[in-house]
Amino acid sequence: MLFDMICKEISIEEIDLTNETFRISEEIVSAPLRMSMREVGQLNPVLLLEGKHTYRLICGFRRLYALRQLSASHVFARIVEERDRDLSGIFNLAFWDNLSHRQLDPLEKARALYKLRNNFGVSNNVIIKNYLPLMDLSPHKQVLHIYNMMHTSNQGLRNRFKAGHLTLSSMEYLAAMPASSQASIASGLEGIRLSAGLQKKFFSLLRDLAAKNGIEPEVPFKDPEVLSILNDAGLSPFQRGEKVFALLYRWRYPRLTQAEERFFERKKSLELPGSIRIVPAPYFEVPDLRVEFNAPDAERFREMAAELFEASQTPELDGLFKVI
Amino acid sequence: MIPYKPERILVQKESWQDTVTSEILGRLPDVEVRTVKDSEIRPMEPSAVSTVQSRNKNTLVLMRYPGSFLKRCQGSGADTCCNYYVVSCVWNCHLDCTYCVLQSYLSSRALIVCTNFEDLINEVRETLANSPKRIFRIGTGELADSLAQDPITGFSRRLVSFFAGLANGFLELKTKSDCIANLEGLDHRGHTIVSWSVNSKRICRTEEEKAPTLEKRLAAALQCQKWGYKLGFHFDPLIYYDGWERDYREAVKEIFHTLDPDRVVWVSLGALRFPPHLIDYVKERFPESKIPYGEFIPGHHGKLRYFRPIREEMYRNMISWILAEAPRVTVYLCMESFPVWKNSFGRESCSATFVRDQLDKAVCSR
Ligand code: SF4
Repeated sequence: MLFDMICKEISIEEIDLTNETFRISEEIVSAPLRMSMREVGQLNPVLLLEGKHTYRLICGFRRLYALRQLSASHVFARIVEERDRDLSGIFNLAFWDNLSHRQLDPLEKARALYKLRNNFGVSNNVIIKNYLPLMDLSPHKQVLHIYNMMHTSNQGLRNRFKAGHLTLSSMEYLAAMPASSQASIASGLEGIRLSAGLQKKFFSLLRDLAAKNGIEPEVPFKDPEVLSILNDAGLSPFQRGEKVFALLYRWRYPRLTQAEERFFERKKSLELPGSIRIVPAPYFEVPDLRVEFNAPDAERFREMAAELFEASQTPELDGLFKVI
Repeated sequence: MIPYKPERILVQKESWQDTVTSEILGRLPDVEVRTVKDSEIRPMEPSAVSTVQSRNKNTLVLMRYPGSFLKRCQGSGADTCCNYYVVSCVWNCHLDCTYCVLQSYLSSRALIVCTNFEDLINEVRETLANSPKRIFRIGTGELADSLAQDPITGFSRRLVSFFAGLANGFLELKTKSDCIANLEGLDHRGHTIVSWSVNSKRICRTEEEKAPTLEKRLAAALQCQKWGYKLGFHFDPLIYYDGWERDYREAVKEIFHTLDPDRVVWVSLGALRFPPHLIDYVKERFPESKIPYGEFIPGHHGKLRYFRPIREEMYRNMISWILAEAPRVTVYLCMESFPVWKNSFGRESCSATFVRDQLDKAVCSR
């Protein structure tokens, strides 16, 4: 509870705008808020902590930013005096204020959790037990650890995450890497886009290749073949993403991809029409092939059977059964 | 090998009636014992057993198992199955091999010993008596190592003596351990095969760290050979890595240079396979292990296994190295398909009955 609540208009110049001790919001630019302020003015006061010479902002970073954009000189504020409570108690005001009217995004959760522990000395146990559930996170040490790492992760990765180019689980995975790896991967990812579905597989390939070959996970991004894909201006970011993925897959599963490529080549050499499909057993686990075609009438059936018969007379057919 | 020594023993109330319980407790005089109610142990299937206090292997649980002990081996259902049976009266193992399927298969981390051993004996006796013309090869190494915990359970002495009296039953004790002391001086009558799960020295060192070295396993095998036991070897799992050929070839040579090839009834080969979720366990528990990074594909029963050409390459080479050292030994593949048998052995005849007959012949004739 706020005791001795004082509300007054404060000159924006009296506020130390560089002090972000209590900031939780990740994004402080809000066009709708600016519009609302322009139309009807400031509806809710910001919360300020009174210092010796200046005020520190507790809640209302976006409101204050919008007012400044509108060239306002004063802000309507509630004032908290430091003697009212300790700094962690004051941060709690910011925390609850945010929680009361919106969902925190993952980076904001990470920021709040990081500050609770590192700036306000709240113990891990208290954070895990009391704060994680409030943020809809499971109360586990590992979750706290991941979110702390996310807060200190590479800015490039954070930007991609904010822009929706990385999923939360990709971000969690990347945030656990050493800073140098994060930086290299962030720059490697710049030229590519990966669908959410592909990201999981992509990063799991990176991780496997690193563990398998005893290399850092960013090493594949320095490979000449990958670089040439990344620099190929004729491809869209999604196409580049898919090509790099295919390359990683080939490195992770070299014999399987070679077999797949051989199969594809040999099938092509049979010169069958596209309407006749020849499919190998999954992963070539048995040598069997499945042949499929659709025939709307007897004549078409005969045509395709003739095509197949012709293909069956060629030596290329034997090759199709010997791809591995 | 680090011997198994529990920190606490939980005894299910019902288990106090069994002599196995008092024998085991007698061998562990200074370990804390607590009686637990049935509700604390849910003795259903091994995969579902869980106890409140059984979070780690330092807990030994003594309980009665009400289900059937004798089961067909999991390989049944593969194209070519050797028709093997398993009885499991110990669940779990403290040797912690990186690839061990038990770490994901059993929900309890405690070591569980079933004390109603008489039920197991009766079940086996009855089943074998009902099919007197059929040979039964029965192993105890499916849900545990057959001998690693034997100093505590003493089951091997009971089993060996029991099988010695069965006309159509052969017991296989499959182990990585060197705990063979209990096998000394038993009148086994050729009805027990002591077999070792072996691997290249590098894999023994990196993935089977707590188990005895290959040399120690072979020294134990040599001792069993001297006691007149038939021997078996299982290169399972075969693990593919750069330089595997040299290492495995060396292991094959070492086996047959240490032991009399004519006393070896069979050698099985099984390339690494495991349920997909085991990969995450291995990555988490053994971050140094390279095992999860093989070229795996989903195969029989959804298990991951090496891409077929890798398996065939390993099998072909292993078969030729083994037969070069021991031309009369029966070599077979574990849980493999017809095409793999055919490509590995270079012959067509590899039906389920062919394999079963070969193994039955091997066990009866040596
Ligand atoms: S010895 Fe066998 S049962 Fe024991 S951990 Fe190793 S693989 Fe598992």
